[in-house]
Amino acid sequence: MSVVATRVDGRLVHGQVVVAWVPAVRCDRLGIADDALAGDSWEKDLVESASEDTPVDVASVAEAVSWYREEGLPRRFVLLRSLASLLELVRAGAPVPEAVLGGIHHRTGARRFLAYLYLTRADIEALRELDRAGVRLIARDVPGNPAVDVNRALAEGRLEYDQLPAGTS
Amino acid sequence: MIRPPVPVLLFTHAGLGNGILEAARSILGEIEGVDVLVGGCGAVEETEDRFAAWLEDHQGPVLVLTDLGFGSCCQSARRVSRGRENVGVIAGINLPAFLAVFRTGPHEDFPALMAHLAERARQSVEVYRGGSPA
Repeated sequence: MSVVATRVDGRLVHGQVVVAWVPAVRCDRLGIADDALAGDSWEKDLVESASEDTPVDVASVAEAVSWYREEGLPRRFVLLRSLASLLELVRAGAPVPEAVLGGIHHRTGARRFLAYLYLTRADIEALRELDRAGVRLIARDVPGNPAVDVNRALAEGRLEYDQLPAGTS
Repeated sequence: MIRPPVPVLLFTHAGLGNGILEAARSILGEIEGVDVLVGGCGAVEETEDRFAAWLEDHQGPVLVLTDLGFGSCCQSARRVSRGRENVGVIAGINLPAFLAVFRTGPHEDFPALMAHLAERARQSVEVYRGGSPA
């Protein structure tokens, strides 16, 4: 499979991704799977201009399934905006072995799991389904920081929505 | 007290904007007409709402100085100011470039001011080797 990493990040392409993640995963293309972005040429141009030297492909989530069936080059780093998009990708048949969760920030109804990971009730349900589908789930904002095993947190009951603290970003 | 020729927003990651402003005050004295907005953390929508509110409070030409051209602060600044020709966004800000804002002479128009500041920012990077220009 040519996909070398999959990341959920509400900002998609930004400083942490360009400076830290792209060299860490040694990708030669970014693949953004996002329905809204795929239909907005101005936003596509904005994201492409933000990626520095790494070429960017933008596709709908359904179209991005094909990236996971490619073999060999290019080494593609796939970015998704939300856990809902990741779940949609997996439901559509993409064989995603592992996903890194970082930069899912506070919004209405979200509760704090980590400083960079705020989850709604629907997010946690999505995580449970991804866990059952066999996706290894890791929370990590930047490569130099420790990873948090999300599958384990689910198994140990540390990701119960009602027990997570409310809070703002 | 010194003021920039147009209102300025330092829209940067973490403490960079406040650090640049503090350093500039140590050189120029009291400064007014400059605000700081921290981005790159928290929800993008919240940051963009704060930026939009700042723009609402500052009609007419304004300068938005951001750090990384590929960073979320710059992307937010561009997204929110889309179509507003009197909002100038300059990425790659550093202390010399910020100080240049206060050292500009009169300019015929806002685009000329933007171009002047961008050029000053580019020229502010200098390289020395063994203590001499490389």
